[in-house]
Amino acid sequence: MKQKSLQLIDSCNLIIVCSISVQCWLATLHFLVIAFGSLFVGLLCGVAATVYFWLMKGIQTPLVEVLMFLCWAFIPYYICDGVDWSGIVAIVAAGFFMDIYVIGSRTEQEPIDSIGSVLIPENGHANMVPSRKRTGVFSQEGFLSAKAKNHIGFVTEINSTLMETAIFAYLGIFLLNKRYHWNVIIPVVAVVSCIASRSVMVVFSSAVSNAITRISSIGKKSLQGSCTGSRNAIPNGTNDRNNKTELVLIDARMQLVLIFSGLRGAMSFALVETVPMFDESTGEGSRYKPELKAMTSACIVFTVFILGGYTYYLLQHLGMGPSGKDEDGLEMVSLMSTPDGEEDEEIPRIGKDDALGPQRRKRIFCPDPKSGFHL
Amino acid sequence: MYVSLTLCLFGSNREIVFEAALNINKKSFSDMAVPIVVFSVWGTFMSTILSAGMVYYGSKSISWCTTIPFIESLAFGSLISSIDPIAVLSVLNNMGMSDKDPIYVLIFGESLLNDGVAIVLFQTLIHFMDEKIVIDSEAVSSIS
Repeated sequence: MKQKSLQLIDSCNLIIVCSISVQCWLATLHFLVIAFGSLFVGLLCGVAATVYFWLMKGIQTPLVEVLMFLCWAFIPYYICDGVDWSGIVAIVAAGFFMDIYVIGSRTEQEPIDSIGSVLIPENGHANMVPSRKRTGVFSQEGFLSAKAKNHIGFVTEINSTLMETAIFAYLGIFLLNKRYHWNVIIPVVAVVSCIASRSVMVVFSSAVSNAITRISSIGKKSLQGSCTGSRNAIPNGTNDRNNKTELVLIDARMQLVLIFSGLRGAMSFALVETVPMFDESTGEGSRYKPELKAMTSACIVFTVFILGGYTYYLLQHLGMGPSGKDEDGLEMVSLMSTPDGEEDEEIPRIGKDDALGPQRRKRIFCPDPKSGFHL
Repeated sequence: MYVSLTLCLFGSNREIVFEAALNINKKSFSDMAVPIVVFSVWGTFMSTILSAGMVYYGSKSISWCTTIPFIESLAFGSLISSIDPIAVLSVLNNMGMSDKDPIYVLIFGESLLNDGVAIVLFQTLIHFMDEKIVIDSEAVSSIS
């Protein structure tokens, strides 16, 4: 009898182990299918968008171009959403592809007026200059009009800032909601695990990344050495530049900044909102959503206010802070544009090689870092 | 109302991510490709597992708090591994950094790509939030 029961326990254990390992395999397969499938959909839509804008070059007005650009960007999201894949991965892939091939690099100088906008002909159709020769589909020259190029970045940034602000407002409102199960211990455990895991991850990943960079640089050096030994054809300048760009090693200072810059924000909060509530009839979903929400909110509040607020002092302490600025260390840029000629020169333009993103953000986000609030 | 707000919130991620993907300097990004990929893919997995382990065993070992089950801990680990690009960048921009600085590109690239990895992981884990699948420490240790 005892032997039978032991056999039964063994078989039960075996079933559990089998089912768990099967579930693990299923999860891995699910992950890979979602990741690569979404990537494929994003790239496919990027190619389709490039062909579309190549065919429509010089036909649409700038407004329609911007609208169509946004529509093309969100098509992969909805396709992936429809088949339960990841729309975010698809949209990142499509965004990269469309930035390189549809927006492209600005090769010709467009006329610019005194406030930094591209001068548009009277009829408003900057791209109605039909004299341009049609180039190849994937020539990276861009198929948008000057006006559309100038505005796409701005329109997407407005959308993004609006959404970000909405999410933070939502977070602020719901912090005191009854749906949260506040309990001192669990948020503390969550915050400690969040910081500790990031610290371990940064140290470990830096070591891996440095090792890969060193190995690849040694490989390339030996390759270059053999090339220069045989031909002496590579100029020194090029060689130096290559070495400089490839050898980006993550030292201890950078690791510290990376740990401190791990701010959790809107994405985490939006994700925890999508955890399904427990359904008694199907047995699916989570009973612990309120705890998860409290844990996530605690991590967001801690990282944004404490870590984010301390990053300024950390960077100053490490000597990576703002240099050549006033004592406050912050160049406050007003939210409203001024008709000042000096500032106008700083207005960046969309192009592949310029520093458009950060400079433009600098105009919009101008908080006092000492206050620790960054939005 | 609540459902529509949630849907609206989740949909709003795409705007944030698309803007980040569009505006990142592709040249600097390709120069820093190795650390970015290591941090965003390997780092996200590692961070997910570490935070999940800490939350699960931490909540289990403390007797006067609710034990968070393993799947929920993993889901929490994955969602907390995604770094918010905009909050980070607003800090770095105020430090006078631009996308020519390696640290800036690394943080931006990591936060952009790890969102994708974290979301896919999270969605995978959500599918396994089912009472019929019992995953506890014994099951996990029996596999390992």
